[in-house]
Amino acid sequence: MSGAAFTIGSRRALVLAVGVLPFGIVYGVAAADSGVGAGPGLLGSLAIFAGASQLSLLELHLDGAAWTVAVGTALVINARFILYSAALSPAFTEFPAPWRFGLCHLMTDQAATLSLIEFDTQRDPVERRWFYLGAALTLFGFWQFGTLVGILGGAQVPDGLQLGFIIPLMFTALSAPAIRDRPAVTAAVVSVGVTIGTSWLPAGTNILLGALIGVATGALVTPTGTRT
Amino acid sequence: MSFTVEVLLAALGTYLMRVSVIALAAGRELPERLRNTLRLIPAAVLPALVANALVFDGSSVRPLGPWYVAFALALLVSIRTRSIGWTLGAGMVAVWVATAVWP
Repeated sequence: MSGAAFTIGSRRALVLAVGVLPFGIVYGVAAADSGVGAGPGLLGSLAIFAGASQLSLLELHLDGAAWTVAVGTALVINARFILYSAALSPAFTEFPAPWRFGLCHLMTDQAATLSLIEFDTQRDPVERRWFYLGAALTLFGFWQFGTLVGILGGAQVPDGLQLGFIIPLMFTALSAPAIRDRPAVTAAVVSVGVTIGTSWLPAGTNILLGALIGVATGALVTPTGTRT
Repeated sequence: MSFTVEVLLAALGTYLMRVSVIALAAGRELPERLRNTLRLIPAAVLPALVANALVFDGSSVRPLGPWYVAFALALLVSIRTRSIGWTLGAGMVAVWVATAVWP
């Protein structure tokens, strides 16, 4: 048992979970307005639990796209989870199987990154899994709550709040602690360049390509000049 | 096809991708060089998500405006403080102010 690590994880994720809340509401409102029903709308958040892909799936469904296109696009958007799966695998391999397979479902950009940063200094597998659970469950809870508020309340999120800006902001805030040495800086710069340069590629594949080429390039750089 | 079935298919596929490498690597000790490379993944994925959300608005390029100004400030705050809370707080205030005063 490690309640302390759970608490630290959830506290670390709290501000991100608050940032995620409005998007849960946006998805919930979109689902309620679309007429797919409250149940299927909520099922999307519970079972897929990945905001951008949920909104895309809903949009394409409403546009009358073929199911192969709607589901396929959602999966391409979520393909970056394969990268997080790889990044987390050295730590996850030390968890008991039920933990390993359960925690996988709660994987998000935020929970994965916060945990990877924590795992740099925290080596104990028990503390590690409780930290991840605390962070991931907090994000999961806020996402479900936001979805419910959107579905039931139908509350509109005003345009003037510029809530869309939270997305680049949140990932910028997470980047700073993740980029600490020359290989990481190289990976980041190359990734951004490729992502922008290949924006003509379909839904999210530019991000995937950018990240892959970024990681490959960063791996070639010698990790000297480490900053703290 | 019904939305529910599409959701379940997307959920299944997404779960399989989340599990993918973790399931394959279970019980194996990865070489240190590979582990160091994997460690670069957030450093590459996160800035790509930032760039994509900042520079593009749907399928068009976002014109120079308040978002870029607010982003530059948030980036500075993030590098200086390395605090998620301060970055989010300062960035949101900056985007509101920048939007209000942008000609």
